[in-house]
Amino acid sequence: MASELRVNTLKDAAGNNSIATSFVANGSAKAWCKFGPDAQPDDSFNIASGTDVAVGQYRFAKTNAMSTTNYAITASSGKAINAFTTGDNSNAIESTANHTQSKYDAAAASPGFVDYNADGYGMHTIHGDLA
Amino acid sequence: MASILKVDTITGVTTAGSISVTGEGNSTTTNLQQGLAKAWWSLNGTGTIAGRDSFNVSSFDDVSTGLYDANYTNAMANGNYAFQGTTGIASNTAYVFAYNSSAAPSTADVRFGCETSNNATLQDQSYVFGTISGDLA
Repeated sequence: MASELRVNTLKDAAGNNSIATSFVANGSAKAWCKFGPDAQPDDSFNIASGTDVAVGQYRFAKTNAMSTTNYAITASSGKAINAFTTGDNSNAIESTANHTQSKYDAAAASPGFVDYNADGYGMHTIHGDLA
Repeated sequence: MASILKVDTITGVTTAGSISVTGEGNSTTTNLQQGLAKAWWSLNGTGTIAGRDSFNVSSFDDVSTGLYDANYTNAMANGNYAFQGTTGIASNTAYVFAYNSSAAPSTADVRFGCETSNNATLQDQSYVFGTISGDLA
């Protein structure tokens, strides 16, 4: 039978290593994804879809929305080839009208917008408050 | 009343690897396991490299200049996890990449490189931070 447990603090059985449950909720990532040049997630959590908006620009929709637009996105890239110019894929989060509680824009720049190399990829993790 | 739960392991009832946590808005739930970082580290990548602190990392490999492997203690389920990396240096800007030209992210380890932005070459860095989100095996 499913159950609901209400506690404020978790400890190990010896009574050590306590952590407040507020840290569990606040410290857990609310979404993450790894995606390829077509913006389609290879794997993800709480990401409903990815869209290739334009060259080097991508939009992601969340399954469950955040409570505000003030969430944090950390981003990184996968370098696919041993070349350091076009397609190096430094990863940026764009400040656009599409940065909402339920979606956000990201970009690959080198330094201008550029698509990821064929076997390159981007990776995002989101922390913040769920709605 | 405040309460303390003393346990060593938390396991889901319906699915062992899936526990719901109510979010900050008091209504939407999020998955506890999915939201937890599965590994993180602070690495001194200069000289004889050394991890300052880490979680779920058994060792680091100094592959070549500016290029490192982090080897997991507990394996990931596949190579499709998300890696975030940051580095900090005094004189210019550098990026950290998951670097799969010679080794794709795997269940056992991830290869990452530090590249300077001004001349786009790999370079050892003193502070290299990484976080892994994804599925454990």
